[in-house]
Amino acid sequence: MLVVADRAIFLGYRDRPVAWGTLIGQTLFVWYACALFIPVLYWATRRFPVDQEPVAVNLSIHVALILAVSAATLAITVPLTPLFFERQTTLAESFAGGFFREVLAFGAVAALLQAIDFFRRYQERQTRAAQLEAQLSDAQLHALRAQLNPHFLFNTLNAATALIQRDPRGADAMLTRLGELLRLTLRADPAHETPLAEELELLERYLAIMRVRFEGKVVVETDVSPQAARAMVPSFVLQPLVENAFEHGMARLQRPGRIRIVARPEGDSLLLTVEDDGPGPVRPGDGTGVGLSNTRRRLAGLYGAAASLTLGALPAGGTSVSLRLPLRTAPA
Amino acid sequence: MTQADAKRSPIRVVIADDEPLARERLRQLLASHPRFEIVAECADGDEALAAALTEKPEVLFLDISMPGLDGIEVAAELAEGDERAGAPPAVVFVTAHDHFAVRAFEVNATDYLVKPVDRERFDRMIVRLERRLGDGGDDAVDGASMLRRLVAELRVGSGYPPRFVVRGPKGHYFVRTEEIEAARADGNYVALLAAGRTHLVRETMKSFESRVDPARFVRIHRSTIVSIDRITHIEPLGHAEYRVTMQGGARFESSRPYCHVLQALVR
Repeated sequence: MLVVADRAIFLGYRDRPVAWGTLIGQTLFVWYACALFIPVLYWATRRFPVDQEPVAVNLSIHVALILAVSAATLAITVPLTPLFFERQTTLAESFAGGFFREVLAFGAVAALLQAIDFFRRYQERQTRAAQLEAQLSDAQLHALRAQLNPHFLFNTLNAATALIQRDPRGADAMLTRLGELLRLTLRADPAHETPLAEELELLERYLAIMRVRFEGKVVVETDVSPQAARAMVPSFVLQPLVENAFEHGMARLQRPGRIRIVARPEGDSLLLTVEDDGPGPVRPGDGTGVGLSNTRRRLAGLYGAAASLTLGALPAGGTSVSLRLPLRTAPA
Repeated sequence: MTQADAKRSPIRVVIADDEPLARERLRQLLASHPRFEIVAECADGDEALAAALTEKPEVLFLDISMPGLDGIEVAAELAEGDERAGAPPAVVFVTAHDHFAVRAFEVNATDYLVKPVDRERFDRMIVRLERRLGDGGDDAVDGASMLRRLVAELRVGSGYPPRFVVRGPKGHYFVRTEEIEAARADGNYVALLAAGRTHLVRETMKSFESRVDPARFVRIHRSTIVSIDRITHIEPLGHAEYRVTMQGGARFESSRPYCHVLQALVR
């Protein structure tokens, strides 16, 4: 439109007759010729984005390309126009005016293409970012998933090999329990909750193994009220805590030790505690062991500020790890 | 004794592991090698060290994670032993899962076992041991220095220990890291100042420095490291030197090469 108007004004200015049909026809012809070169510009936009380094180089390439393409268009259209239309302007006027027009037109197109490409890339980035976020949460969830300590795994297997000769049934039981534990940990969903009673059943498999391995060196007591037993807790939350009690408590003792698991409701919270009479935490209140930080993160993810984990020293010696969760009971 | 006799005499072994079933496993595996005779079984590091010093076995199977002294600390004590007492035993470390330790063992060509203990690997290791002991065993000095090298490497991987082993007149005991006020170089030893008393540990200042948390301990002098938490005064003496006064009353002077941390603290 602009081009047509421009040429009409030009002709009018020169006091030449304006043949609108021809004018429009010619203009369209030129536009189609331009269209041939637009793919070139598109390619240049993708290949040499003006907003990416090296900006100066990319910009220069675009300018050069626009000039080249304009010249090429003219080289095609000007000689060919007379074949279809009556010449309205002199050859010189055609070239000069035409060149200027083409440069403007191509420049506008190039700018538009850049804008479109920029927008496309921006959208891609947004999508990628959203995907990454989703993936990351996944990865984090994976990491938070309950994991069986390799130390526990290999020591238990070793114990089982010893039992094979002397007590094949015992070896059998140990390996089966280990298999069950593994299956449960692999299945454990960090966001999943189970009634405490079920959680204790799972823990019992772990304890059964530890009892055989530590042969009378450890006594485990549980003190769980019936109401607490129905409370919902994150699945597999107890095992890492009890494992800590074994590893940092009992394993450091040169005398028999005791672990206590206590659960009771307190107002609208459930208080879940694992105590041992071992040497006590290295730095009270610290609780920076990996197992504990995982548990903390799970609690935060599931309950936010309504849940807490405290590591402390027991007055008579030993360690206590306390979890406070919102009390929610399973439907009876 | 002729070489032939030496080849046939029993090889005395001490086993140390806190789990009875783990000890049983080793017992079962050694049963197929009648030449090896178990002279003691220990459930913790203290027992292991005592047995190693009293029974003087040729081989010591050491679990790395044990209560009391752990396997690394037992090896450290044996390595620092009086060289007149002869070579330390050939130590075979046993570990359930410790990439770092295993790497250290391989680099130092130490014999080691992973749990669950594989019978074939065990048998192959026994053959190696027999060959090594049949050749007269390790020279007293070599054996100790090899162990010392290994221990130094293992310690690097074990982070900041919560306590240090001190050998006292009546045996060894522990000093908790959080109670250490300061450490001073003292010949081949580092003297730890804790709870008003001095305790000697056989370490170099450099190795001690690497084993304490730099956020809690600062080296103020070629021969002095102090606990930051227990500093009460820092007094500038000019020339980038300071006098540091500790909670227990002890005073130390810093030297210029080590002034930066103190300068930061003063600010």
